[in-house]
Amino acid sequence: MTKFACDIVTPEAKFYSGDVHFVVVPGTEGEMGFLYDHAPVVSTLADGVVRIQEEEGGPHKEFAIEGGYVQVDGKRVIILADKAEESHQA
Amino acid sequence: MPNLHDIDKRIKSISSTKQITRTMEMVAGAKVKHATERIYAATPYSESMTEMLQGVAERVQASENPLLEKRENVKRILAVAVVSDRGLAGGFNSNVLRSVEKTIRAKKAQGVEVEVIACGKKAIGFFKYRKINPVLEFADLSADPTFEEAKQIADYAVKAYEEGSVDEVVLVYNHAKNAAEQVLREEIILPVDTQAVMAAAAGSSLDAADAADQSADTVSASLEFEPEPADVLQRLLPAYLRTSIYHALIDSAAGEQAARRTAMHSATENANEIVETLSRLYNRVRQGAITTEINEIVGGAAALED
Repeated sequence: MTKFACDIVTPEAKFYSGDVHFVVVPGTEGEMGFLYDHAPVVSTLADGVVRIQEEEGGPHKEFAIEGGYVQVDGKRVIILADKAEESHQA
Repeated sequence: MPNLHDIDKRIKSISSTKQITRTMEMVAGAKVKHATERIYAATPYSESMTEMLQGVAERVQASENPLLEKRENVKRILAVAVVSDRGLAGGFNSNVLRSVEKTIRAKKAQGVEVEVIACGKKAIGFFKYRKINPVLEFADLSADPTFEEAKQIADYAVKAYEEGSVDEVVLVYNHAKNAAEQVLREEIILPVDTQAVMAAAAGSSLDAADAADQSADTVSASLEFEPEPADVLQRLLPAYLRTSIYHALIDSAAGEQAARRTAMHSATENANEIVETLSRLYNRVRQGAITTEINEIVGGAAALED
């Protein structure tokens, strides 16, 4: 499967940036998952966990975020968050 | 003729001042780097935020959100003055403060009231001295502004604007154009001017109303919103405001250090110049004293010979 770019950005810094296979974000109206070539979406996010799978079938990386938004345009997923933290138990 | 001792004292005093100014110059120089890095770190966020807002704003009418609506009758303005906590930075603080004071006077003449949010001890002192009580004041933030403070300011501004107690919010700060130059910026942050936001990216859509009509069926079909665009906008606008304010705070912080470095650099140079002039004077006076002394001895000896 084709990978796409994913960024997690906070006001203080670019928190995560990389090519990923699959992203799950906590939307205000339920979780949303994105693969390559997803239809363009803008959504607000609830406080919760973002899961990123860098390789197909590979391990997940988890990030806790607070006060966020997500913008998707098929080849890129940008997650804006007031605060972000990588979860270490992943 | 000034006496030797006095000149010596002045030279010593100026040299020790020079030591301080030179140290401050170097400290500020080191801090500029740190502050500039912070701006770079924050840039991706504000760029994405602007981009996202453009996307939403294209699809929403201005009347749909109170923060977008321009008010015809401006009765009360909120001015956010962003300066530093410490002086010795040349015209850095006074530029902003004087400009705000001028605005207040001009607006008062038009019958418009102005309330002030003061960021930085210098602003607090300045306004208190002029019997203007800031509605919110922040001290100790210029060295290390955090997102929290930007949030407090934004929350206050949004609340006041929605309640109708304020009809316009202006942000006044120094933009660090480069390491040596600061430019005074006055930005109207509320109401949010979506036209300006959109124009910043796509200068192509000449007729905004036309574009809005088209986007209703063409673009919105390709871009989904969750929840509704209006709801997204409602959350996005305060966030956009917070980002703008945070950006102004860190921009001003970088500008402050740069301004201080420049100011201290010229202070050090001036001190060097004065020390040089004074040393020359010191030597001349000393030589003059010696010459007088020799003349007296020679004169005395000649008198004895006769």
